Amino acid sequence: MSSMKTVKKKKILVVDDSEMNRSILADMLGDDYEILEACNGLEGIAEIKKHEEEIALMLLDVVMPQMDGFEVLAVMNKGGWIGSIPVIMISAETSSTHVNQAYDMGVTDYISRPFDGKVVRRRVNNTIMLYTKQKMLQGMVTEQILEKEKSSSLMVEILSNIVEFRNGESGLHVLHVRTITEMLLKKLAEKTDKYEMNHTRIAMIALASALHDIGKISIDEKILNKPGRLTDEEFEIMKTHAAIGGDMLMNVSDRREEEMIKVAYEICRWHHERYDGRGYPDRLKGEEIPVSAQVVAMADVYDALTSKRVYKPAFSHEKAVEMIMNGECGAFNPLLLECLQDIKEELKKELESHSTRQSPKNEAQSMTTELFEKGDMGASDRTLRLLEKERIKYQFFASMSKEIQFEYNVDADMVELTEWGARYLGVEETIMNPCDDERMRRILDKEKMMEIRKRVRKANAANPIVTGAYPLRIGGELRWHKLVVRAMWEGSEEDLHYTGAIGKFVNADEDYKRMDSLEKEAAHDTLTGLFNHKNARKRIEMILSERRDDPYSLILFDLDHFKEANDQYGHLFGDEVLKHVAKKLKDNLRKDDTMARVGGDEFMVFLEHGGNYEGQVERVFQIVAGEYENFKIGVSMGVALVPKDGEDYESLFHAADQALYASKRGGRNQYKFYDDTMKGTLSVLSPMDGEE
Amino acid sequence: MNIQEFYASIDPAGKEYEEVMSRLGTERLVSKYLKKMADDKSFANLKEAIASENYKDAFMASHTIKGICMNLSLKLLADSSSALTEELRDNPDPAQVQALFKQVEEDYRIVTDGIRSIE
Repeated sequence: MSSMKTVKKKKILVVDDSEMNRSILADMLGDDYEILEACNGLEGIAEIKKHEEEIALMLLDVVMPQMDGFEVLAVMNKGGWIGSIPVIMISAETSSTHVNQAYDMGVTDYISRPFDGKVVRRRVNNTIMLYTKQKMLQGMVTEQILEKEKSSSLMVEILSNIVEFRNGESGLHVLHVRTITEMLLKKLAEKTDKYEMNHTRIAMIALASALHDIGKISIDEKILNKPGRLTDEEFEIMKTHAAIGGDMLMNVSDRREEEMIKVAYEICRWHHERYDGRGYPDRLKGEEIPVSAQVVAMADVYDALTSKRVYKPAFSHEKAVEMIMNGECGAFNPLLLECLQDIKEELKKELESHSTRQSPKNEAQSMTTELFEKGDMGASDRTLRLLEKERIKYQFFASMSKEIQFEYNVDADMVELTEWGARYLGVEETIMNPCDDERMRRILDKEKMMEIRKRVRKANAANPIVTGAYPLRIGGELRWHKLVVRAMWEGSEEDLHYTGAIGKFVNADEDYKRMDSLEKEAAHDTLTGLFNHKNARKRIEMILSERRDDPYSLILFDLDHFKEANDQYGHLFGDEVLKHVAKKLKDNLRKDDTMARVGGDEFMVFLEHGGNYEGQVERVFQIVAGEYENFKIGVSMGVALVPKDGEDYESLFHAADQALYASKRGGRNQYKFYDDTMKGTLSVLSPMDGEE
Repeated sequence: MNIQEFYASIDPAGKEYEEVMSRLGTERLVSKYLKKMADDKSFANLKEAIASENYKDAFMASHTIKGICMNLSLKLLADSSSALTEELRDNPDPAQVQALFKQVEEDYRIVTDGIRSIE
């Protein structure tokens, strides 16, 4: 962490057998960096071990006694240092095999002798900057990992809030215990390797510390919140909370959280043990008490002392530390007491600033450092650099492509859009729970989103890609988009774990419009899946020619004020209405009935009526009329009957058309049967009041 | 003799002085390292290793001298020590080594004498 106050020079390790070379380099870089020197490979490795975390860069010579540069690189590869310490090799060896070997072994740069002061300085600066950037990138990756852990963090928070709520304590207790625990553990890790503390473990213990009093859920509220001191008997009951808390966690069976649960168990059960063996419930002594519980115990006592309780005032920070140091409040590991002594100033400041802070966000940072040191990510810095490059490339192309590209993370139920995509849709780049997100639902119907989610989920490694066409509402208007998504998995072949998907929406509005006109030629209307006029006619003519005495009706209808809907909501919305109507027909009529879209918003149905033609027409009318997304679907309908109004298609269609016109003239949203009075009236096919 | 004159005395036509100045920046540094070079033990090590036919150590010492000379643009000695280094690297021929070392010794003398005469 860099702060304005601590302008500590970064350290550069120079490993070169020639004292003069080291000296020259020191002169070149000494102004900006602190130079550590080693005169051969062995010494170099020793320096790395000693200053591992502080070395920002290493300058390495090739030909050296004891251990040469390549051997040093080999050791650094083995020890994992090559991932955390950038190495610039400096050598008079310029043969390409040498240089390549060096790069293969993980050096960041190669400078050949004789070197130029300015070049060395610049390359050193660049490399260090690059690595700093990578660290930041790693930080980003880490935060994503932490994102996943939020769920367990959430569980912990909920549970601890329940406890606090019942306890009548302020919500800060848990937060304080957590912070103190974390600070103590960090100090402890500095002091000793004994407890094998690392940042991951510290983070876990700190998180689990929030659960220390969860056993109190089972304690009678009267005892729990009793004003004044407890009687001996009440105290005995109170004391059971430790064991009960432990039991509660024992019953949690979540394999993924095994380690976390184990730590929480230790803390719950043993956070009232005393180092001198006089605590409860198991009277563990000294190091028998897991260090997690030891630390939380101290944090708990400290926070209890500095908080106001019904039976005591709040002690000052100084007084509380003093009381703990003097053994007035429990007995602690001397090493932990030392830690408390060391961090007391920092602790005071930290807790004072606490009330304004939401949650300790520092794990991410420390975790990053740890990943950095250990390369736990399994990704070398070089990989990360490549990743960063890829990211920039991707961002660039994404912005050029005019595609709405996105990533979906299933664990977080989160969609991330590219910058361009987010701007185009008018939403944030990150959207949590998209199916329930109001803005997302305005763009794409919830059912459609769920459908996509379901389809992607069903994809498998052999067929990971899902495609489809979906209308997106952009700027208030529906536009067709082609969707291509690829499902993603993690893990080994036997144990694949679905993690989410990547994909894009591409505007296909133009394509669809063009296709629409092409489709007119084909048998079916692509939009609605019904017959088109030409084929409906063929079919009806066939039925008529094969007909015996069966009565049929030919129903022609169009949608009232459809053009206005088109104008007002965009033609895509209009398409949706048409599709809706078609679907209603398909869902409610028989398969053998002929259903067709014969014009823009004009539909035709030809069906056998078996006598009750009035009831049937009424039914069709009711099926179609209604509402779609607040658009009222009114229907004007005209009906011609076979054989009464004709026995050939031409006559029937003409009759139905005239009946339809009569319906319109009669005020719309109704149906009429053809009768002779309509003969010779205008046809719907000739435009009326602006409708096509 | 000043530094510029020193470089000219070794290679009158060369650009070594300009080179080293651009690399190290100031005369103060150049002079500092020239002095160091004159006091460096590498040559003594080289001489001893050659005498005892310890070619591995000789290679190391010769390599170091070459490196230093390159940094200081002491082309004369850089060239001869470079030739010696290459001979020593793989299967050195004792006669060749002797001949090349003679050249290094000669150049080393010229250079160090020169350095010592710098005020």
